[in-house]
Amino acid sequence: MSRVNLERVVKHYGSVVALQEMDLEIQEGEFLTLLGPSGCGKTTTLRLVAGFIEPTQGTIYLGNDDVTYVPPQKREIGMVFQDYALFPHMTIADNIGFGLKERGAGKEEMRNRVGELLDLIHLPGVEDRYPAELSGGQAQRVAVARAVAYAPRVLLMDEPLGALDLKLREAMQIELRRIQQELKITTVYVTHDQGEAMNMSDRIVVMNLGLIEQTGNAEDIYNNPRTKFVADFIGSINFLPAMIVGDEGEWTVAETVGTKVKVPKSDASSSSGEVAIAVRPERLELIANGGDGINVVPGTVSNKIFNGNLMRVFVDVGADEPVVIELPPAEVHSETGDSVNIGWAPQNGQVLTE
Amino acid sequence: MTASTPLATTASNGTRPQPQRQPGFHFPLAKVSFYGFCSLSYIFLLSPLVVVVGASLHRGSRYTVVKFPPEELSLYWYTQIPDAHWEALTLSFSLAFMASILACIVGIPAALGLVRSNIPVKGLFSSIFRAPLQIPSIVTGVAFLQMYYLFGDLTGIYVNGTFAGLLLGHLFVGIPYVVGTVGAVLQRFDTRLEEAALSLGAGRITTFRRVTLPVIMPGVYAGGLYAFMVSFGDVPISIFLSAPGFVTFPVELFYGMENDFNPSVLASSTLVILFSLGLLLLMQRIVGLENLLRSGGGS
Repeated sequence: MSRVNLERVVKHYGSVVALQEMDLEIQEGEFLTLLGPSGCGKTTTLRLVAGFIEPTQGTIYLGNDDVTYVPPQKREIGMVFQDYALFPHMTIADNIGFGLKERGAGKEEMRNRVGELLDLIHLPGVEDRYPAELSGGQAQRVAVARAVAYAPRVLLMDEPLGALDLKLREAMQIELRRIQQELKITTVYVTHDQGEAMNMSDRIVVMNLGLIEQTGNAEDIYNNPRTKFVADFIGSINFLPAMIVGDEGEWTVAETVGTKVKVPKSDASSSSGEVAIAVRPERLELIANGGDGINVVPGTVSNKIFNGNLMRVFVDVGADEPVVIELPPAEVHSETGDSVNIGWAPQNGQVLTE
Repeated sequence: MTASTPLATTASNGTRPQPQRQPGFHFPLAKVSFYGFCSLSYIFLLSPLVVVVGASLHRGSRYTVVKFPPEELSLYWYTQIPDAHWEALTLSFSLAFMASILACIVGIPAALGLVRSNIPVKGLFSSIFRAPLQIPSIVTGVAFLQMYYLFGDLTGIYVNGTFAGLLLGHLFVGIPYVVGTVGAVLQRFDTRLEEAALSLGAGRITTFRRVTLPVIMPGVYAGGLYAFMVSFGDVPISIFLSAPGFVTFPVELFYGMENDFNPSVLASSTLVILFSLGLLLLMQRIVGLENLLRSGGGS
């Protein structure tokens, strides 16, 4: 197990910039997720750490070793791929034992280790089967066992659950996290699925257009997104177009759709151009009158969607997009077409720029 | 009139008129003609083989002509296969075997290069590797003979009429098949298998030996088999590159038919057919099994 360190790493493909100067340090035993839409540079970062590609500039360290130009086979890594990449012509035992054999393990040692690993992934007794005989979830667990067989310095996973259906994906998230915790192995995980990232990671790195937008744990990023992109990518959120109009003690005053509201002061408070007031749907309420210190914006209910444990109410407040409010169904008494007030406590809103 | 038309009655019920099934009209004419056509294709493809095998079993005597269907079954002509046929068969077999192995040795790296590299003139290179299939074999034969004479005049080493000379000619037409089939398999090859092997600590050569090669093996077998068959059945090239007393089996048969035709030709041909059939079944087994395995990875 090792720390992974990327220092000022840049990757260009011809004239295309896949990664703009990246600095990232992954702690020993940490589960770090690179999260972002396709083309954000997350897979490029992973492949740089794996050694499948070389950076245009910058240095990559595994532990204290500079591995920037070390080929993958000499890096002591474990890699898990989206489509498993199990060797189809080998049995499960030979797949898992592949790396051990490369390191000159004896027959007895290999058999014992394969047995241990199959116990670890809760899949004992499949030694003599072929990959084609396994289900997707089983194949992916075998792929994990193969990757960790010889205790690599870092485990790299590239959208490993992307090919599985939703139910299985959720079970596998717990499973992967358990294996990672048991082995205490430094892990870099790539996904575009924010739920996956939040369920498993110690720390999440949100990326966009080859840059890190924000780094932090799931709660941090959810509660304090630094940019509109991060706020939108993690969970759902409402944006109200606004201008900063003043200052009131600890609050910044902004005007949105003709109403003055208060938001916590932040870097964006001094912005003179258009900003966005961001509020999570579950932090909005439908209220009769504005209480003390509550932001209130009037609007009209344009739609309601029943989602089982919650009701999503769409309120047209005069912005381009309706504001979405999530409430327990029993608390919703308004009908489509009703005039309502939406309200939220100032500390639940945020002012963000692009 | 109105009562007798089903349309009127159903329409008055307000329901859709059901198209009535007419027994007899549903006579499966299409089906019969389809199967008939398929059967004809099979008969067309198999009849030459049946005639050869059948006629080879006709007893006859030194003076009878070929007869089909055979009147009395006998393996007589199988005992009359001349030694020249056996020698020619041995030569053809070794030639085809060597040619297919060499075609694989040359063809696999070529296919890898053509599929994986990003060189700008890739199209040109792949045309070069296809070219032997587009030149009529007879022209190839003449060209090789001329080339050998030229080479001989320059160096004093004449390879025409030698095993090496034949082998090169057969290799020339065999390579495109291996490049074609291996290339096709490589197109579908998941390069992440190689990345997985590298990440597990295997070097480039080990990765090729333990992962790439086994996975593309069905293509290698198929290409090798084609190369073998093309070499084994070739007349136009071999006829130019053989020497008296050193001829391949098809060329021997060709001469035999011209000079002294007797049913022993059919007997040895039948043996070749059986051999080819066996080879084909063997390949099907191997490639079929490999295909089953390479579909792997769950999902």
